[in-house]
Amino acid sequence: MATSQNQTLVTLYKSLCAQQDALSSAIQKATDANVADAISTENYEVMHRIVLVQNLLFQADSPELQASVKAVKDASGQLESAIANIQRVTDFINGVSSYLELVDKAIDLAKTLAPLAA
Amino acid sequence: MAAGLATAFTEVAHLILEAKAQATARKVALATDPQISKILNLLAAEIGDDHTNVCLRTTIYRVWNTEKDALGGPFLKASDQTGKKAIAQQYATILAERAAEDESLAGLHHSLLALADAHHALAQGNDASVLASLTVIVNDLQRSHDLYAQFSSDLKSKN
Repeated sequence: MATSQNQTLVTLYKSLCAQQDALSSAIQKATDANVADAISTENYEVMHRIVLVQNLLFQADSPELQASVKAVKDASGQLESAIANIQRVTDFINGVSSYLELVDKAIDLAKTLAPLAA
Repeated sequence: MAAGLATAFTEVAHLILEAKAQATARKVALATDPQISKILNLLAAEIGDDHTNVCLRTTIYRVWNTEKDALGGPFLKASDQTGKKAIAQQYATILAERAAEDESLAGLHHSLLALADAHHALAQGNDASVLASLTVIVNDLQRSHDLYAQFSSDLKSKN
């Protein structure tokens, strides 16, 4: 039984939640149904990763994982710009995809680490 | 899942009540109390005491939010008031389901902490505290049951 959550994965979880909040806000502001649906599809993709990270919160940490999550944090600014320019749907979807590629790398790394010791 | 958890809590509560009368059981409880307390507190922390921190309650709350947000497109596409009203009703149902599940998890969080208290009281030979903590668990289970019954009834009346 682990004593505490992996703080690197906590950072990843919080980053995903922040992006999901931005997507949720964008859906509420959308006036075009197709745009709202496109954002919603990406929202489900982000939610899927939040669930995955939730299940990995008690994995051990590593320098590689820390570097991978740092790359996610660095990319989050680009995604925020993509969300801000939501009417350019293709750019928006590409922005989310690039961000999630980095998230998936971090998740795959975390899966290979051992559970935290008690 | 809720029924299984309720059964598990009831069984543990019965075991603690049975152990209360046995000196050997109390010795075992005293010896294991730090570990049991640690495990139960960790489980409670994993569930979480709200739906904003990094915990299971937050994740589940956000799953419901994703479902709620997905209604944005269909609402904009609905061409008349009847269609928009139907989407609005789905939205309200999701909010109610989100609240019910979060309340249920809050009860589970509370019950785990009460179970840790009951075990500690057993280890200390404090019968009054054992009963008080087990009463908290029973009340939490009853509240969850009532909430589920009310929600099921509301859903039936809407359909």
